Amino acid sequence: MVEIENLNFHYSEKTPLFNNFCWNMEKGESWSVLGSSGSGKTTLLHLLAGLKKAHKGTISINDEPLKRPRPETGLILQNHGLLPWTTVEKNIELGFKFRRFYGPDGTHCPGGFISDKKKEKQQVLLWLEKMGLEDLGKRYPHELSGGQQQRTAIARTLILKPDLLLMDEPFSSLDSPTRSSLQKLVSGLEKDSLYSRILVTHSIEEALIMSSRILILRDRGREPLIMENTKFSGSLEFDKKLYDQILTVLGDDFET
Amino acid sequence: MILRRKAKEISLGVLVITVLWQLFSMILNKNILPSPVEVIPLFFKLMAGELSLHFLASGARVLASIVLSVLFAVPLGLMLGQSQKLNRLVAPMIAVLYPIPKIVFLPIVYVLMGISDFSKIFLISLILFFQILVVVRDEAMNLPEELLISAKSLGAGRMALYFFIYGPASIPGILTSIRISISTAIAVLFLAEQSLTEFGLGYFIIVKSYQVLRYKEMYGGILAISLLGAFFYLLIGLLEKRLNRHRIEERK
Repeated sequence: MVEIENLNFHYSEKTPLFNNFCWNMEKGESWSVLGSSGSGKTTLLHLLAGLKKAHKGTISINDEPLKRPRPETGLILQNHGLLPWTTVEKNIELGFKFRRFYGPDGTHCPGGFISDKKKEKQQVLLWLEKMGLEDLGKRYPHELSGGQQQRTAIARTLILKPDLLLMDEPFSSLDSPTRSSLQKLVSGLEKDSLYSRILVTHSIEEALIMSSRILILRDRGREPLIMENTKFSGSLEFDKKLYDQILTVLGDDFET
Repeated sequence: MILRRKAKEISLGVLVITVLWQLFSMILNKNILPSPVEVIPLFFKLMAGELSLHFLASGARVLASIVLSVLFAVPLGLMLGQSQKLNRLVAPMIAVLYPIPKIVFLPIVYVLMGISDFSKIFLISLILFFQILVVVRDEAMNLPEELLISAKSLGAGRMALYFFIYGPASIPGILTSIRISISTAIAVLFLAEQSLTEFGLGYFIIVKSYQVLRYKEMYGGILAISLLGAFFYLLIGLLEKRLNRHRIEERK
């Protein structure tokens, strides 16, 4: 699904963030990326989203070298990024609007996409229901709670049926019960959709709950590590032993 | 609800000012301040005839200059808002030109563009142009990063960003800047219309009334130009309220 070969990226020449970094991800896998701040977690996600360009090396998705954002990749951010001037419903429909605007050109909208406004509106209603937002469709984002805003953002992304979902700290600004319910919701949604997922998080617990494999990025040029989360079950239970092991690896400057 | 309250407020204001006007005209008792009892009926009589033409001429010039300034200021503002390099180059020029009272360009505009309607429209467009330019630029510059990133991830390229993100984001700012500069624009129009035209409220008030000492007619013209300003001000205010729902509620 994703292949990174000899990736080099830096913000300043002196401190390279990625130095000949290689990484592979199979279709259908769910990964988490952990690391202290400044280790390049978000940068990696932006590179995978096609929002930043590698200075050297290649990123391929489905054997195609990545040059710009792929229409089949979904991205969910910590700060939802909803349009404040329009309703929840219209926000969820936004991706369809872009697709109608460009037509199936393969770069902004998947080739072969046929727009059907009526069906798309039905999809919006369906997703509102799936996310428990059915009564909030006509509201504006600022009238919603943080959890509801994030649900809207998730619906807006998943309605386009991505094959790769990138998430950047999607739950970290939420309070803990809301966070748990959203973690559950996302895991539950995956049972009937077929995307691969990469979740960037600073919470070891979240990484263990949400994914079967964990990529650990370390600062000061130390090699990244991969941990197998064999006890991953999709529930809110997690492997305490692995937790401690990761905590040791990440070292003192990591804040949980 | 808001509309009804606003209408009540305005009617009350008009009433109080009319009463004061009547009082002052009685105290002063001179031709230069005729009583509203004489002026208001005359205003309606004039509006049924000649004055309405002057009103329409001025209104059309204002409208045309709004369109013209939006047409040029919005794309340029969006460009500046997205390119720091370009903005660094142009910002000093804007900083110098922005505070200049645009009326001083009147003779230059006349010489360069000829004595036409267009030169008058161009002059008042200048006032609106800078206001809108600055607002659109700042609005585009300050758009939250995550808004742009998430739109891009949903498939938006440059064009879609303009139409769906930058455009709607700057509409409230555009309306506000038109509303706050509309009375300056009409003031400049008033001056520009005093010469080299035969239509417009400036011409009616100064040339056709004031200079021939027809004070009552002059007040009819003043009423008309006030009405023109109020019309644009309120119309744009209403549009702002409609398009700006989320912001008004945020402020509450």
